Amino acid sequence: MIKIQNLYKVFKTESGHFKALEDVSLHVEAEDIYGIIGMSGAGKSTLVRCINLLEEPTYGEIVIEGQCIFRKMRKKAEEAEDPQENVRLTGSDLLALRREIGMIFQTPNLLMQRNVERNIAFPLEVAGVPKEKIQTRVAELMDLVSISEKAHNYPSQLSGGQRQRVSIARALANTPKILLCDEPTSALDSLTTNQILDLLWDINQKLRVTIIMITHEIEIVKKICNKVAVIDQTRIVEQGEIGQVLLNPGKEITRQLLRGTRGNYA
Amino acid sequence: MPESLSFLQAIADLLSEFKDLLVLGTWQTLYVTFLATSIAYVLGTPLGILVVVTAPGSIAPNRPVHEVLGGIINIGRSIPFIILLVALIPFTRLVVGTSIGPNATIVPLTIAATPFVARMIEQSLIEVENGLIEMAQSMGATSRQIIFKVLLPESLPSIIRGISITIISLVGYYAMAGAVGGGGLGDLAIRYGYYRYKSDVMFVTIVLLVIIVEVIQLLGNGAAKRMDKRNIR
Repeated sequence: MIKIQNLYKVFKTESGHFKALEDVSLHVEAEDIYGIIGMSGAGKSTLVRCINLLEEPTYGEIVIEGQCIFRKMRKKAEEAEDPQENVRLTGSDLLALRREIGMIFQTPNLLMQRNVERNIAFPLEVAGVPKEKIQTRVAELMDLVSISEKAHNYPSQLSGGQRQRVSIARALANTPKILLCDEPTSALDSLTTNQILDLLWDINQKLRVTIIMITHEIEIVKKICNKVAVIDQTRIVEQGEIGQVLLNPGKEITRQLLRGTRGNYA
Repeated sequence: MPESLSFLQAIADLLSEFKDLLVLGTWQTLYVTFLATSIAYVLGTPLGILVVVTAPGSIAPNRPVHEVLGGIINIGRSIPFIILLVALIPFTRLVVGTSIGPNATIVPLTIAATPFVARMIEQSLIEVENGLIEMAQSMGATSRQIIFKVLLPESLPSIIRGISITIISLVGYYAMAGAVGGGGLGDLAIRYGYYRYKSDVMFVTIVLLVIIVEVIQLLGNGAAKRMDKRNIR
């Protein structure tokens, strides 16, 4: 589904070069709920934003469903054993890619001047879906996230959990096969967090959507992920099936993240 | 006769004597400032949008365009209006056929207001949260869609407030144009109040200008507040 090979991301800042990702490789299979966990500043947001090219990687390769969306090798072509062309999606190809990948954020990022219905309609308008179709699709989506009774309310009238449900419906509007989640529950209380996680789980099961879940909380990974990658200071230090990683944490950082949820005594 | 009554009587006499001139002056003031504001928004809005979207880190970063437009706007805003008014006389004649009267004043007023409007629009648009732009980008929105479906609608209440500020500034500018025969309430204040020492006429025109400014401010704030869905609870 998603294959990331030797990905590097270096930000050029005024004070020099800042490495956000180094040599990251990741293989997400269809219908996975793949957790990416790490401390803040570890580079996990940057990684997920490379997948829909909101952030352009510096080097590496990303293949989504067999289509290479980015490739730039560190070695010059003449030095490589198996030289391949550089790939960088632009223009309408890039927009088409992004329309096929849903994304939700820590803050729901709803349009405050649009009501619930019209917020969910936004990506459909962007994709040029005809009006009649937008209406039926929006009704379906509101039903899916149980927000139908708020159709004509504005974001200022919704709770944090309701807002995030609207943003999930919106992210699913163009029936993406992949849903990128950048800490979607970090701003919510624990009860609402559970409701949102249940909803994401349902979506994964019912709609067969592959989910990539960025988080700094191991509880979230335990609850819904089937695979996990632990990212520590720009590098993935451990990855695999959830049981395997959590039962036999090979790295200190993983143990630290596990301890964090049970107090500091474990 | 008590003093206050005689004062009211004097005002009443004045109003009946200058009624036609005051009505005409008020009408010219409203007509000129609204028309100049409208044209300035037609010209200044695209300019403001361009400045915002070409800024570094925005949706269509382009440093040269950003810097050049910013420079032009700043130059336009630095020239004192009274200088612009005189300097533009040949151009005004070319456009309107004359350089005096209300219609002629619309030309320099519009040119003075356009860079001001561009900055007002810029100010409103940069208030839109970055998260919304990123959301729209993640959904494959084009720059054009981000401008028309995110930036402008989300900042509309702020843009409306900017429009009332612009109109009010132009009421002030236009009063200045009265000094060179531009018509309107400022013209009245200069010709009767200043040159003919009729301080009562001066007083009435100032009261009228204050009322115009207050009403525009109230209408603008009211409209902005009513249309802003963030206020719905």
